[in-house]
Parts: sequence; C-alpha cells; structure tokens
Amino acid sequence: MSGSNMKDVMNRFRDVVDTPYEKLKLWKEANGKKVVGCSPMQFPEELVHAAGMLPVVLQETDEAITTGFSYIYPFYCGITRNIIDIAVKGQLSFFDGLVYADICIQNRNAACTLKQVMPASYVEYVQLPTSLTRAGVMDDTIRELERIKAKLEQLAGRKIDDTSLKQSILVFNRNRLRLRQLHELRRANPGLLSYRDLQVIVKSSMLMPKEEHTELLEGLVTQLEKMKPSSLEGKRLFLSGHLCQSLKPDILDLIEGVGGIIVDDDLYTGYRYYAVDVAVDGSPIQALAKRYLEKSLPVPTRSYLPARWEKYLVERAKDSRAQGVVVLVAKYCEPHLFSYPFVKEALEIAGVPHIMLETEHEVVSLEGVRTRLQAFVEMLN
Amino acid sequence: METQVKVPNRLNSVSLIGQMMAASFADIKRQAAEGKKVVWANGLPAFLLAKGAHMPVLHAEGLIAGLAARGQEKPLQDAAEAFGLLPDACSYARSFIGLARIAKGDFHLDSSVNQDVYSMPKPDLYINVPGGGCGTGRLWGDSVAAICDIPAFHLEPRFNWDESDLEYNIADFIRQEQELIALMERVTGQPYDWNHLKEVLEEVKKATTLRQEIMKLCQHVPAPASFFDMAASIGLVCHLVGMPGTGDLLQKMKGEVEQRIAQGIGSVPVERYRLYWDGILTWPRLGVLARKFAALDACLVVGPYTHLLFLPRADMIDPERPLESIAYNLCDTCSNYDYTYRAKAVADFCQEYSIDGLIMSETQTCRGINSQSFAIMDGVARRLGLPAITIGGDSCDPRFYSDAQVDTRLQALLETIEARRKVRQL
Ligand code: SF4
Ligand code: SF4
Repeated sequence: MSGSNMKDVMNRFRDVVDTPYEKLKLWKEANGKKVVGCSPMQFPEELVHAAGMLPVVLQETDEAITTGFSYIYPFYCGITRNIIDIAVKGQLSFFDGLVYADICIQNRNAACTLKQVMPASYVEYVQLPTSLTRAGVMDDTIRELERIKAKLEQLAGRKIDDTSLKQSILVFNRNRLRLRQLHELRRANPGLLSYRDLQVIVKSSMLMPKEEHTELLEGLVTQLEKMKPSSLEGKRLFLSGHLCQSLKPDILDLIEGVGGIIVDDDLYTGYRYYAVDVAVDGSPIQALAKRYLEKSLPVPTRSYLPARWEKYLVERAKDSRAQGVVVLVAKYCEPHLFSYPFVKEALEIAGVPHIMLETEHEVVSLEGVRTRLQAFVEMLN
Repeated sequence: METQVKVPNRLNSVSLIGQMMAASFADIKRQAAEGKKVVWANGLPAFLLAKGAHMPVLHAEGLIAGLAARGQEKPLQDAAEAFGLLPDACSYARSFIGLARIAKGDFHLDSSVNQDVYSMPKPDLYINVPGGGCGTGRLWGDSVAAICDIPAFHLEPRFNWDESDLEYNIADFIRQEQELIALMERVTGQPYDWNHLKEVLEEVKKATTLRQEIMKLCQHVPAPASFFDMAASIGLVCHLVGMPGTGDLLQKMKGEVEQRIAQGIGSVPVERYRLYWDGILTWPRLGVLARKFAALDACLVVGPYTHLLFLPRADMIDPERPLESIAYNLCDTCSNYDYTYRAKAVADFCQEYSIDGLIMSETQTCRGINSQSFAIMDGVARRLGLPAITIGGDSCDPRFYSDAQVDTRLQALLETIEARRKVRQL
C-alpha cells in the first residue's frame, strides 16, 4: 500500500465516521441487507452478524439537540440525548432493529424512549448480569444471550447456528487483532499515526462491515509496520474515560496542541473495544458469555469489587510509561462520576498526575480547558 | 380587610413518624454498640430481609430526606465533594457516601456542626435495592462498600421489558433473596431466623394495607391528607419497615383521616385545585412547597413516588411466603415497567383522584425516578387532556431549585386549569 493509498483508506474511514447514518442508509440500499444498531459497550455484535445482518454501534453525532428536548431532560448524558433527538427527527428509522443493553439507567431510559418515539420499530433490551459476584451469573448470561439470539432470529428470518456464530466470532476476532496490532504499533511509536486518526479507525470499525474494515486495516497495518515514524516531542499521556461515547476531535487537538502525546487509552472507542477476543473452541454462546463475564476490562457499569477500574487504570498507565493521565468524563455520566473519586485517589497514591475534564455534547468554549491542560502538561516531568 | 393566611393542615400523626424515625437512629447506634452487625441500605424496602438476620438497617433515603428537610444535608455533600464526587451525581447517593467517609474517619466535620447527627455506626454489609431498576444504586452501594471495605449485595429486580418477562424476573429475584440470606448468615455467623421474618411480614402487611387504605381515602374531595403527608409516611414502610408500632401509627393516621372526612376538613384550607406530583420532593424546600400550594388553594393529592413505589402490593404480602411477597412488590410494580404501563397507571390515578393537572418535578440528579416524565405527560394528555408542567428541583440538593421558576410555572398551570373549566362550563 502506497502513501496515497493510505490516504485513500483514511479518507474512506473518515467518510463513514463523518456522516455515519447517511452512509449506512446508502449501504443498506446498495446491499439490501438488514442493519441493526447496537447500544455501545456490552452488546455482542457477533450475534447480529451471525444472523446475516449488519451490526453497528450507535454513535453520537454533532447535531444540536432540539426536538429531542420534548422527550428527554437536559441532565441526561450527551449520547442519550443526541440519540433520542435524532430518533425523533426520523434519522434512525432506516434501522431494521435497535438493541440496547443494561449498562446504566440512562441507557435504559433511552431504550424505553426509543420504543415510544419509534413505535413501528423493533427495539430490544438485553439484561446481562451486572453484579458479577452473584451466584449463577454464567447461566444467567447464557440464558439472556440465548433469549436475544432467538429474538434476532425472528428479526432476521433465519436461524443462528453454532457454525455461523463461530464464523462471525472469527470475523470479529480478526478485526480486533488488527486493531490491537495498530494500537501496539502506535504505542511504541506515537509518531506513526495521530491519535485522532486512530479514533477514526476504531469508530469506522463500529460502523462498517467488519470484513471490509479488516481488509482495509490490514493494508494499513502492513504499511505502518514498514514506515519510519516521525519523532515526536512532548509529554506522554494516557487517555481514560468516555465509557460509551466517542470523543469530539477538538479535545484531542487541544491535548496535542499543548504538547501532549497520547500514547495509550482505555476508552470505549479505543482499547476497550478491541482488547479481548472471544474464544473459538467449545460453545460459541458460552464463549460470548465468558468474554462478557471473565475477560472484558473492568468498567464501573458492572459491579465487581475485586477488580475495580482504578486499579486496572493505574497498572495500564504505568505500563505505558505515561507521565500523566487525562480523565475525560462525559457530563452526567453517572457510572463515571461515581468512579472518579476512586480513580483520583488511586492515581494520587500511585504518584501518577492526572487532570479531569468534563466533556459536553453542546459546543462549549475550550479556552478554559486549554489553559488547564497547558498548565497540567507543563508541570509533568 | 384582613387577608387570611392559608397554611397546610398537617396530620397530627405525621409528627409522630418523625419521633419514631429519630428513635430508630438512636436504636441503631445502641445495637451497634452492643456488637450487632449493621446494614446500610438504599432504595426500596426489600432490605427488610435483614430483619431475619437481626441486623439493624440504616436506610439511606430515610436518614438523608429527614436531614435535608431540616436543612442539614450540606455537611454530607461537602464530605462527598471533597472526595471528588461532582454535584451532577445523585444527591441522595452523594450524601450517603459523605456519611460513609465520616463514619470511616476519612472526613472530619467542622466543629461548628452538630456531630451527633452525622455519626452513624460503620456498616458491615451494604444492600442496594434500586428504585425502578436505577443502576445508580449499584454505583452508590459499591462506593460505600469500597470506602468501608465491606461486601455489597445488589438486590436488583430485572426490568419487565415485555410483560411476559415477569414470571422469570420474579423467580430471578427470589434467587437473589436466597443468596442475600446466605450472605447475611456468613456476615453474622448465625442461622437466619425465618420465624422472625414471618413476624416482621405480619407487621408489614398490616402497615402497607392501612397505608393503601389511607391513600384511597384521599380520593375524597377535599383530600383529607396530601402528598406531603403520604411522603412522610413512606418512612413507616421503608426505613422503619416491619417495626412494631408502625401499623398502629398508620391506624392512628387513618382514624385522623376518617375524622377529617366526616368533618369535611381538607389538607389545605381551601381546595380549588387537585394536583398530581411526579418525581421526588425537593426535601430541603419541603416546608416552602407545602405552604406555597396551600396559599394557592392547591392540594398535591397523589404521585407515583408516594403511592406506587414502596411496597404498593399489600394484597400480595403473605407472611407465610415472605420471599415471593417481597419479589412481587419489587418486580410487579409500576416503576418496573416501561412508559405504556406507567402512563396508563397515571391516567387511572388521575381519574380516581379527580386530578386537575400534573406537575412533573425534574429531580435534577435522579435519572431513575423521572425517567419517563415526558411519555407520561404525553400519554395522560392524550387520554384525559390534562395540562402538565415541569418544574426544576432535586431530592436533596437545593441548588437545583428556584422559587421564582416554580411560582411562574405553577401560576401558568392553575390558569390553564381555570381556562379549561370555563370552556367546560360554556
Ligand atoms: S455509560 Fe455514561 S455516557 Fe454511557 S449511556 Fe450511561 S451515563 Fe451515558
Ligand atoms: S438516581 Fe434516583 S432512583 Fe437512582 S439511586 Fe439516586 S435517587 Fe434512587
């Protein structure tokens, strides 16, 4: 893949990310396949794929919230308000189904409100166990996955057998593997690719057919492996937070603009999305359950006191030799609000400096944020 | 001409509830000093299972609402904010997490503050029973558990996305109850006392039945008791759930209500408007709000918070089947269904209680209780054509409340009600 090809690939990814729902609508018309929107974080997209439909992760758009205010209070998190707003405006009506998972009360309310504002649409709600120390969680997870599998079969009009589900798991694992390779390449040499571009690549993976995305990504990774990275001067930063919604690029520009180099992250539209694979031996439903229960990274939307997020974050930040951590809290995100004091305490005890920034759906003046970031980056050793 | 000052007619028995609550907090301290293991809990009264383990329970909302109503919530919220908890997080939770930090010795109150009010025995176990399936209870419970280094159990009813889910969800809840009981046996080192649980359930049955009867009596015009009285009575079926004497107090309350009906006395001096309230009361402005409504000849009569949330299915309580009884009261209730069910329940309410208008209180830091407000407004408006307003507020953080905004919107609601009446008379 030549330099210009790399540019083409990035442009293709960017094109998808910039106007996701328009592009998906066109894709659906061209391919005649059903498209299912999955709420971020915990829904196993592989199940939708195995039913012959295209799973995509619902994304927040930049659109100002207007009509949606008649359906949802302003003190809900940005992605929830935005999705309801664009649903009311009819922008999600082309989806053949929407599947929501129990990650927090705001997500639950979004699912209920979607049912209300899109009465003709298929909206499903998945309740995987959230208290992971409870007895019988494996059985409960399998039962719930089987239940939603049956619902998806009805929607797709075809059965999901073990062979097709395993096949889908392989497709997703391959994409995750390439994303991890890319992540590691960049972690070793951040000059290879801007973090902003990495975000575009991850988000596009959530919005495109995985097969097509992997093919483009493989070419990109091969090319990057051969490239000599441009050297970067700056302070090494770890980006943490944003549990389920993607970042606005302007915050990334700010971080880089004040001399920060993002070397690693635990964002949902980042490492969290591709950190772990699903096993391909044995029962595929059980493998999906295992990934959910035993392998996925600690996150405060699930209760598991023995493996709290803050401990994991300190280890990851140290591992990546970050000089500081930027904690990004999506405004009104309660799972994050309640974990932040513990994250703060753990980082302080570990001697890792951090800065906490709240992000908003609405456009806010970034001047204050720039000043705080600048001061933070300057004081890092 | 002398203008009459219209003040709310509070039920006399309501002040006894406050006394009983205060005595219970003192009792928790006494029991802890005697070496009893203590439970801290939040949410709905399924934590009454701890009674069978002879563990005293400090119920978060029971304590915090009372403190907030007396304007004593701020030191707790300061303790939480000093820890890094931002004001957008549930203010009940913030206050309780502040209390945990104080109990643990991680935060020291200013010497000018009455220390006794905030000094509660450290918990040995946390039980979270979320209202309306709010996942924030889980975050809150885990925070207290992490601060105090204790186990947390989340007794969470699964949401009835489809009505067909109910049977499974009840069975699932019963399994959770059994698991909690086993955990409590480990914490106390004692076998669970099923006989005592049965006795507790007998008192619960008596209290919840009486409470339902009192609420029904409020269908009478003028309403003999208000939403404010019924909100105070939540303590009897929540923090004080199953305590000896709760049934008797409700019996007294019922007697008072019946007497008022016989004498034609209402809960406000003049009842011109009967209103529905959705959401939690702004506890720190409780008195202000009660006086405001009375002065406007408006009575807050009914709301899901008082009428549908706390053990609303007295008919399903059978002391011989305690786990099922509790499971039904958690799983098969209005707040555990989606908007269609809720809107219908509210519309039925509005008819039964002759409601003129709806007030949807935006409990600003609670995304659980007011989640479907717009759907309810829409559903009720469609069915009955009742006018509705939203007003700002919060459960325990008065910073989200604005008197001026409430006055303006309330005025608009009452004017709309008047206009509708005129149209109907034509
Ligand atoms: S996890 Fe946070 S950002 Fe995501 S839906 Fe829930 S509250 Fe919103
Ligand atoms: S947000 Fe509301 S429903 Fe949820 S725990 Fe807090 S007060 Fe309860």
